[in-house]
Amino acid sequence: MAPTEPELKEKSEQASQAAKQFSQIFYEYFDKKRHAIKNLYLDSATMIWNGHAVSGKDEIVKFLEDLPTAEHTLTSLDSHPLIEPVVTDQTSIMVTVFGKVDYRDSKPKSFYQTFILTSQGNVWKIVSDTFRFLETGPS
Amino acid sequence: ITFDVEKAVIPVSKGSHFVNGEIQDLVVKFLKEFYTIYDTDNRQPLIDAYHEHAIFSLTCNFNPAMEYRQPNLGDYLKLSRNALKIPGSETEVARRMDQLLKRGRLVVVAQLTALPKTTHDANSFVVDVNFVSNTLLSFSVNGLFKESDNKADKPPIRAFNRCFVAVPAQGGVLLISDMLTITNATSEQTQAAFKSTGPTPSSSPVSSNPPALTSPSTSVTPAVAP
Repeated sequence: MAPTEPELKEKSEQASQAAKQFSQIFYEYFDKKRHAIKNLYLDSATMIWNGHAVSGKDEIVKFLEDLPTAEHTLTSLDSHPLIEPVVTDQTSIMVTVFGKVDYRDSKPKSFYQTFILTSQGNVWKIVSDTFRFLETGPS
Repeated sequence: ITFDVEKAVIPVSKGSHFVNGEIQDLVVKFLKEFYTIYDTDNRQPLIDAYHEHAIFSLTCNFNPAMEYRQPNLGDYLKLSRNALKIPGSETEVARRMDQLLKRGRLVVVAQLTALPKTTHDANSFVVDVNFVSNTLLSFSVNGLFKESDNKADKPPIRAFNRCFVAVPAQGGVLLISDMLTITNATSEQTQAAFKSTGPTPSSSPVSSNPPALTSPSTSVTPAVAP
């Protein structure tokens, strides 16, 4: 059944609000209390970090905890509602972030990061997390 | 005598991630066909790649890691759907965000048609397939392009990230979501851009010479095994 115009508007507004809150929480956790980031991922989440594919919440958290201390500064944030959910009957949204990450002892790098979130119960969880530095591709 | 302090290192980046060969074939074929049309003077045929209820938006940004003066962002700025930069009250921001989200394939392709003409550097492409199920395929492309009708002496090289979400459709896939992030390439990227046009083999999964389409009506929706 085709969604109506008000429904579509409401969905994209919901996605915008979730994206804004999510990006604040995610990067605050990442930069200041990385251990807490675990709760944001679905058990079966996947991550591609600069081409490294990692499956499952525990493995993702292990990978992230091994990264150097970081400070993220966001430049842009956009989001889309997905008309086809990633998990049956759950609302799904996609969030894209662009910004700068400063690791200690190295030059700041620009990065893109894209998340797919699903609403499990009343809570948004990360299904998929894709991170890439803005750099010359591997050759 | 010192202390055993943090010695974490940044892992070396890897190339494209496709999950498996079958998905790689599908995504690479899709991207070749998509960008072959996207880089022509007529983007209208791309309508066949989009779902009836497809949505599109873009953001454009100065590159925050560059210390020097950057080329301006031109025509993209007024379309930039950046939740962090749109001023006003909550209601005004919501209204503007809504206006900047292009809904429905006719509207989407009209918007794509209005964007500057481009030439993409297929050798710069790095692809990440980030979600695969029977009903959904999501992948993102990172790469470089230049504006082919830019009149500047040295047209700026732009860097982009584009996230596509597709659903299976008869004989192929259809895009339900297309989200584009545009910024200025770093100086290293600018130097490396559009260099690999010779016969030198590239490890890039996408050929530097996408095959020309035989006719503009050729479907951009590749066959997909369900």
